[in-house]
Amino acid sequence: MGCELVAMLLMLVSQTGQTKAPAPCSIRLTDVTSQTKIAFRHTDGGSGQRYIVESVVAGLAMLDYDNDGQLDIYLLNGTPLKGTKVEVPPRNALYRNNGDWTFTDVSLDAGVADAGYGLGVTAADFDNDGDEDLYLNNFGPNVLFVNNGDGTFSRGGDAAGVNYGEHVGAGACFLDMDADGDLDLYAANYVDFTYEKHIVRMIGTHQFHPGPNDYHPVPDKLFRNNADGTFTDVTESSGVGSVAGPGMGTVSFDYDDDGDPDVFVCNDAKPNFLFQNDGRGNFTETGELAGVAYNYMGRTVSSMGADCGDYDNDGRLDLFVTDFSAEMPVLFRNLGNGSFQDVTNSTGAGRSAYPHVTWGNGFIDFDADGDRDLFIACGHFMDNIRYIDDRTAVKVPNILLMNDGRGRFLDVSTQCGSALAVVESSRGVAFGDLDNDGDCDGVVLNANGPVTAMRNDTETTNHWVQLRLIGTISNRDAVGARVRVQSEGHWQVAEVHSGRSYQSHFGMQLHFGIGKSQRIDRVEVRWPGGATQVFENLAADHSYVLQQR
Amino acid sequence: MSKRRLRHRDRPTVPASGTDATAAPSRWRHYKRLLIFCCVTAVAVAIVMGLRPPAPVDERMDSGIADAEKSPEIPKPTIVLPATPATFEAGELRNELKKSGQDLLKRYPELPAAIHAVALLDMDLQQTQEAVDLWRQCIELDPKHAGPYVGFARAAMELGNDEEAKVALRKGLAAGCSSPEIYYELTAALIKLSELEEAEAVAQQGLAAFPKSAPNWLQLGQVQLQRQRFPEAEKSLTTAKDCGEKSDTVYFSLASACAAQGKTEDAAKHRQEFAARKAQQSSASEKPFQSRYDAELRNIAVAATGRIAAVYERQGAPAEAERLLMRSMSLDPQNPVVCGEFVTFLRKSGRIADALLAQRRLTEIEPAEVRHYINLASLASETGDLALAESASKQVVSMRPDLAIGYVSLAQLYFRGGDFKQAKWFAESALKQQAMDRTEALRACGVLAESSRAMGDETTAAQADSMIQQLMSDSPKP
Repeated sequence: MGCELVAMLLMLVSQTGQTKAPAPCSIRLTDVTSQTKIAFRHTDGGSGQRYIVESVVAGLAMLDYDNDGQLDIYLLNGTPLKGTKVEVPPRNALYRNNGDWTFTDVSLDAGVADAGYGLGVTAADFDNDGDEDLYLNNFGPNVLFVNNGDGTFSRGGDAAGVNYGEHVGAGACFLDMDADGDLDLYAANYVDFTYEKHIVRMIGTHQFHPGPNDYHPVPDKLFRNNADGTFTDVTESSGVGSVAGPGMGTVSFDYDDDGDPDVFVCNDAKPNFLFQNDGRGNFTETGELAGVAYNYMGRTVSSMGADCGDYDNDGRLDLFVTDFSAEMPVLFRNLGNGSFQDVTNSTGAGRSAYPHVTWGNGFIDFDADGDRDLFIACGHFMDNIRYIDDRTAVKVPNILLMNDGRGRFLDVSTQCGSALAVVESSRGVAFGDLDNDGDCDGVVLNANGPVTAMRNDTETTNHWVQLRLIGTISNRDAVGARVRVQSEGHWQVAEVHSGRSYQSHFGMQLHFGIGKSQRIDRVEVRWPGGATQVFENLAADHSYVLQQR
Repeated sequence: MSKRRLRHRDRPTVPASGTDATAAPSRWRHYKRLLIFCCVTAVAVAIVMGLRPPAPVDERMDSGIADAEKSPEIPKPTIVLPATPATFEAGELRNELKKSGQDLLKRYPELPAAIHAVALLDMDLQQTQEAVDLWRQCIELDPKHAGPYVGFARAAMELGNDEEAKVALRKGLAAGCSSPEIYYELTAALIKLSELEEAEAVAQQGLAAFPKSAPNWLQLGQVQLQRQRFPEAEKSLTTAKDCGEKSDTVYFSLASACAAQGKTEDAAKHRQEFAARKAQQSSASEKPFQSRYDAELRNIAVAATGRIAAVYERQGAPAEAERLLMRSMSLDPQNPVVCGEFVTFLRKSGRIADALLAQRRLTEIEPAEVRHYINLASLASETGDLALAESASKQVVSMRPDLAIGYVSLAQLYFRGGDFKQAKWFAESALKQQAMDRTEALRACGVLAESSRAMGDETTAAQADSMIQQLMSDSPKP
């Protein structure tokens, strides 16, 4: 193809080579929170009024804000809500990765210690200047933090056009909807809550949070990037504004493989949306036709977060959606003809999660065996839930489902390390290689609690590669690029996303576990806009930067 | 139907033997007729119809069946039914329900029916672990009933213990328990455990035993869908629909099955049905939480209280049963199920006037339900309120002129009122209807025979007797 491999060897990983006694599950996620020096503690800002916004906190982002090759962590927090009095207002926090599993709080220095009520966050280099910017979708005004390239950020201000006043935000994602080389922005909205519209739910002497059906849904927002640091609201003209749902997590991916990014939106207790892009930034909502609006029974679920990944390695991106207690999370298998099938039961993808409210999730190949496992964050938001429902609790352990490589998921939560023994009320999760050792680690944002830092200590002889794509013609972060890798005849596919899971963002680096293969024979990149590029013969156990030519 | 009002008639009399001036029967015929009369009519008519001589004529009334037979006194009800739903505070109602359950268990700690009723209540209140424990106890005490296995499995699955549910249900089936629900839940457990092939097999077994169970057909279709056996799924789902499944789910699944087979037009049609049904649901689910929760809790309370009352009743504690049924009625005076249960309870207790009062309420709640008028006529007749019995029976004929029961009731009433001509006409009309069971046929023939005889029409009477004989000889052997 005449393409050149621009491979920057970022890190060689030495596998320990040690073997353990055969175990049902080799994945090990270790809770290393205490050694990270991350003092952040989330608060929902509640005063006991139980506003609905307290029930939809909050996401986090992994990004390399200072371009030092190490993923940093940005955590959302909740400003005190009406009636709450605190001495020191909680703020969002940016933790710089020191590279040794310690992190330094640089929020104030970096200028991102926002004191708003954070719900959703995403990151990407929207201005193509070589560094990742941040977008916060808040309860209240949203914030665009523009990375100055020197370790600090500036507020985008009203002129940027993406701060649209008082509202209840949710997930957000950057995408290049019109293939013009810059990133546009999709921001989900939840419901039309204001303090004046607060609804008190009482059962006996117990007060509970209201739900999405107590309010009106609000249409999401779509902003077109003007390529000058500002955006134009195209919600109506794009077709996105034609429908309204209580939006939560969002993920943009090319579900129909036609070369443009589409958008999936989780709706809480309403049918999910799937916005099909015509390639020019005009969207048609096709959730029901595509089979992702409802679960296999035609029931609406209270969707929370969504991730996409090719769990069965058939070359198509599938969707996993978390939801409320007494609802099975849903795995939608992409059938390749623009439609999906709910395969939760046949794959076991919802196993163990049924009693719990589930939130953040990720298709991550923790053991690098060439198939993607599933992490599911759990926890109720009603602190008195046991009074009316004893099936679950506010704090419950998270769930890890291991992909057996034959399209089935096995619950290995109790066998895979101390991180899965943590009992908190988890919400957003983000995954990335925090220590650059070639496997995916994770961070969990726990509502009204500390974070959980999960180090991947899986002992395996499996191999991997990690790819960081740099666009030159397309957007610099290559958001929307589709990558196919082939090793010993096996193909895997992934896309670069900005914004995924539960109102969160993972790092831009793509991770491929390739099992016993020693090398990647071929990498095919379809850049946003359609140009393709092939890279060949990549040695395993390295991280590469692939630059667009 | 006949709109004619009943006219006063003389007291019905059975013609004395040998007084038939027109026929002058032989001795043999006379004895034969007597035999028929004694053996058949007495059994079929007197027992089935409960014939009684009409009351003396009330001169003040000149029309209607009540003119003909005036009961000495129609008994008055001893209860007052609540008219408006009792208000409640959700926490207090929950506590009240829990106390009702505790009281029942305190009184009958080893009674499986009591434990089952309380477990159902716990399940409804989402105290699932308690429900599991109770059902476990229930199964130990009485391993031969399907209900506790089903309940246990449902609760276990709610807690995510699908394997435990599967084991229990298999145990239930092995113990000889069989119901559509036990197969349904076992299939559900297997689905959750990703054992779809086995799930399909179990669903098939269940349908072999209960081929008309719509939910089981729907479930089978859904398993087949998940196994990508699309033509089979379509067939099963269509059968579910034919068996009465009306949920939006069946249309959604049918759309999926058709779409997967490339039947786009059929898929679109089913999708349209699905959307229409979903739209109806949406408006209901958009009510604010508090009203939805309260409504749900009210429904739970009504159903659970009724179930607990039934246990008390079966255990010979009618006072407690009545108190609870009354409470149930107070929570939802317009609930046809609880009102029906109350009618049954009162009727069984021999409190016909009270039962009549509750039955009247039932007709107000569901005015389009013909069986309520049938029961109303029956109860009115029992209390001696023949005017009400007549109007209720006419209502039955008006609503369902194809049903024999309305004509039969009227025939009996007119006969009782001495209007043999009308009685005969309604009896004959009854016999012309297709929708008639054997008991109704016997009753119609009895009236026909007797009213004809009273009118001197021995031919018709004999024909009716003959039909009675035929019906009696066709009767199933005990």
